[in-house]
Amino acid sequence: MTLDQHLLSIILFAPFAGAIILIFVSGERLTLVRTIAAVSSFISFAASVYLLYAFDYGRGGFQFLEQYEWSKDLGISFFLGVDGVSVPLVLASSLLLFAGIFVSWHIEDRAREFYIFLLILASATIGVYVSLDLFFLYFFYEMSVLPMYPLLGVWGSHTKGYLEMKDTAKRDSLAFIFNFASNSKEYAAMKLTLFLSAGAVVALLGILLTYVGTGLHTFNLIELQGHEQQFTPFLRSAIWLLLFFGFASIAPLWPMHSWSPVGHAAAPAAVSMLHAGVLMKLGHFSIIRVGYWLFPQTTKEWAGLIAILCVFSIIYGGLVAFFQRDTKYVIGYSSSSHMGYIFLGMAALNMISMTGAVLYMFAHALATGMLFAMAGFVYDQTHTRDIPSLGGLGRKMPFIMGAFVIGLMASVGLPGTVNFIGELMVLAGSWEPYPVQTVIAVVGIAITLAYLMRMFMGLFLGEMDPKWAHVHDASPIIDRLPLLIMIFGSLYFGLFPTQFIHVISSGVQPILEQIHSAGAVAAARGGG
Amino acid sequence: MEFTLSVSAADLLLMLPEFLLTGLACLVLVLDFSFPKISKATLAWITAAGLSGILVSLVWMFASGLQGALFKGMFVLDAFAVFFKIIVVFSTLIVLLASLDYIKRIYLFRGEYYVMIMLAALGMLFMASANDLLSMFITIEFSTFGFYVLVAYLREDDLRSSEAGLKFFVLSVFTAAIMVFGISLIYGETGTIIFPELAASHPVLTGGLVIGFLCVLVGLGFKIGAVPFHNWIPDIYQGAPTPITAYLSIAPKAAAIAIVLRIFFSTFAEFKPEWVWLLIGMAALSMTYGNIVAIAQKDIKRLLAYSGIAQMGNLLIGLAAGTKMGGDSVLFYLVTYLVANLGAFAVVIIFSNLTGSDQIDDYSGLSRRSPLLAAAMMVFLLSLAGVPPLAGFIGKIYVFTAAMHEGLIALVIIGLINIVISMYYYLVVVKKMYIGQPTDHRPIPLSVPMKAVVYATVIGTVALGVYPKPFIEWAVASTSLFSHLIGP
Repeated sequence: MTLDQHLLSIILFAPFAGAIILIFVSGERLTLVRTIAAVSSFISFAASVYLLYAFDYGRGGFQFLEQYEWSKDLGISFFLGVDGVSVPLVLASSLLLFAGIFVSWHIEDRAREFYIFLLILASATIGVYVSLDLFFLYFFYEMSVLPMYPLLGVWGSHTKGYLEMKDTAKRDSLAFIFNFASNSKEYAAMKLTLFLSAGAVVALLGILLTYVGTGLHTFNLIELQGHEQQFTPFLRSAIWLLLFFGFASIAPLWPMHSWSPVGHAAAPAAVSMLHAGVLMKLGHFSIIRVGYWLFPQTTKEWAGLIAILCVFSIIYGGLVAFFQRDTKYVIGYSSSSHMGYIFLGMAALNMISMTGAVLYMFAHALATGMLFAMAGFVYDQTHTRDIPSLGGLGRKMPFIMGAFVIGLMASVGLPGTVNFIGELMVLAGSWEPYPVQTVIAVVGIAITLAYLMRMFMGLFLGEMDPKWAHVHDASPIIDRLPLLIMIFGSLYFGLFPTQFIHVISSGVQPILEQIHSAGAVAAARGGG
Repeated sequence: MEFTLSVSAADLLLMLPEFLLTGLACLVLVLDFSFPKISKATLAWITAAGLSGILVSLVWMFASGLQGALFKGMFVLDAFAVFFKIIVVFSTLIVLLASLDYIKRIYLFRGEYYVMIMLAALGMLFMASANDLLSMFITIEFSTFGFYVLVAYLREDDLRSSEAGLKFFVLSVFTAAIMVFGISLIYGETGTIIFPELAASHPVLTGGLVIGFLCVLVGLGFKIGAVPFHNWIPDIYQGAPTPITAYLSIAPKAAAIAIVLRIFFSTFAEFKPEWVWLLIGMAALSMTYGNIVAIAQKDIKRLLAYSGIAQMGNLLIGLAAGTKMGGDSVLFYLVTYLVANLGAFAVVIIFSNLTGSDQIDDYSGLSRRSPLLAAAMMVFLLSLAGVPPLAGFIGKIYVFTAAMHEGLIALVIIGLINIVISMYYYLVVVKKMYIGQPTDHRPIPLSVPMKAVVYATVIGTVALGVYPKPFIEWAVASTSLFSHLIGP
């Protein structure tokens, strides 16, 4: 019982504790550093697996509540709790963190600092998912953005175009940074951080307006709920849009996506995994948690906007991904394209599509995590991400090739993977309200298949350049373990999704009930 | 009229810290003169011990809830004054510790250096208690005298230090003259200079009073370094010995904020609809100007100077709110600014002790040369930028919330945009430290007092961000004199 009472604290603070312990460990002792990181993330991972099965979906609502007063004068409490929407995302975060520790096992330059930042990044992400206090939601949200800066800037990599430029003065000039195809990691890091911070402060304005507007003097999300009618229609629309665009910039919704592929490409593999896997979902999650939860009626009024923008995400991301030469740019644009499916599911506002959207968030985390881990592995071996100069690596790395096939299947959403179920639910649910968008989304799947196949063939099939003779396959444990965990998760939950779907729908249901009943009340009022 | 002072011994207890500090300054001065062989480090440790004692006495005064007024209300002691006195003494202590290594660069008058710091602190202690226009003027000038000398302390080695001293003197005296003129106008219009009496007289807003008020604002704006009274800051910050820059960036500003709060929130509270526009303008200009100009800086001290201007702009948001909550947020913001800013300057001092350079480019690769210093500097800068879980974040949210309650949405939006702008130049320093390659591979030695300063400020910055509750409560308890103000 006591374990259950503090379960969320354990999940949240285990990686933090790891980071704090690492501060006091000598950076020279690499094995110890890695072990501490691995152990602390494993505690978090194990506890979140337990959370998935301990969550009582029959009861629904917010569970595993923990509340401590933090500042009475500002109306802030440290309030943790999960519902069906956050449980899968907590699991995805801790899983990807655990996998990411192993993916980055070979980092030797300031490994201690790397792991400290990585652990802070992942636990701040978890913090957003488990916060029931608006202040802390934002606190962790902003906190998860900043570690990205050093992670990209120090341990990231320049793009090929950047390295090929010989004229260093021109290379570092201001004009050059707008040359998208050839960016330095410093540029990517700065762009990402500023973009996300800008999005965050937009959302913060919405949060502060909500806080002041209700006059309740509390940031407690449960107490704030149900006060939508206190706002004038203009004000609540304004707040909703601030929250939506603020949070959607991390999602990243077209046209606020431009930081994302650049950031993915510059980031080290583990960071790309966390970034695409769970950091981007902070956007969708926060929109659901704050926008949908506090402003159900406004959500209903503006859902059409989401449905329009998501199409651009899907098609634009997919088409751009098709024409990339850089492996990480392909996966990066693919991720931002796939985020469109989640938005489509959120826009449809019905049980099937919303449940599918949340499930797809989890599924995409695993699929894109695999792809980024493998792109990172290939980069570590060859020091290039340029698809045309690679090829025929399949003979040298059969395990990676096999794993890539599974990652590809998952990304496309073939049956057997959890992505299939998520995608199917999103499409089935959104067919009725948005048939056009659904058709376009199906086309998007075909595009996904096209560019991932192209990348697969470019990397693993064909003639191998003799200069890659030294490359080797994934080592038995350290390199394979993270991939196997993600593959197992993807297939296992693809074959046995019942628990997941029950949990998610128990969380989605009350949100949708709010939205539909709020609309009914307003309609009745308008009619009377 | 016969002017008599009837002061009992119990009343003098109200001035205990001031007496102790005067005694300490005299003691150090006498020791320095009488025993030429006494090492300067010993003098510093005596000073540090004395300041710690004064800090304890202040905490006791806060805990015992001691309050009262002396000299016909010219000197007032309340929780509010004690708050600022604690800030002043604490920052004096930190600056003293941070000076221990730095002072080895100074060849003359090392003993007097400590005495000057203490005399400046004494002036600021009185500033926190100043309760009428005249004592306000005298105490401000008193504290500035110490700084005239301290800013120019490197005159033997660095011309910029002499230049800074002269500039500071000329500009300071100029604004002081304006302030005195303002005081005389206010007195002429109202017939009193004591703050509570001014408030009680419900003055009519005549032209003379407005001009007088604006002239006083010039003097106070100069002290806190808000736009458009900021021009002295960058040159003087750059030229002054770095510990003095650190001191200048926090203690006089804090003490001036105490006076500003008393004037705006109690004395002229009824003119809020009029003065709020002044504060909104100063806040918006300070933030925007400070942050934008900071981007172009190549010298870390100038960067921190412009960042300090912007920080004062942020603080003025809380003042513009004009409520009790606004006052609380200002006090809290000041504490968060204090720890992060002193910490950042401590790193600058340590770095320049070894390298003699303040160029941001020379910070390249600091994370390889000294992981502790680089991490600490990152914490301080990100706290100044307002990133959770650090102190500055809570401070910013606090002032924004206070302003939001008063409907100052436009000002909050400007503040939020400025967070993003400021993040850029703080991150540029982080970039140099972490991504840049060192040109010089010497590790950076850390002496015990410097280590203590860095650890104390890092822990303070993180603790204020993670668990600010006691400090928020302290700020709330200290502003009870503003509870007449309407608002949350």
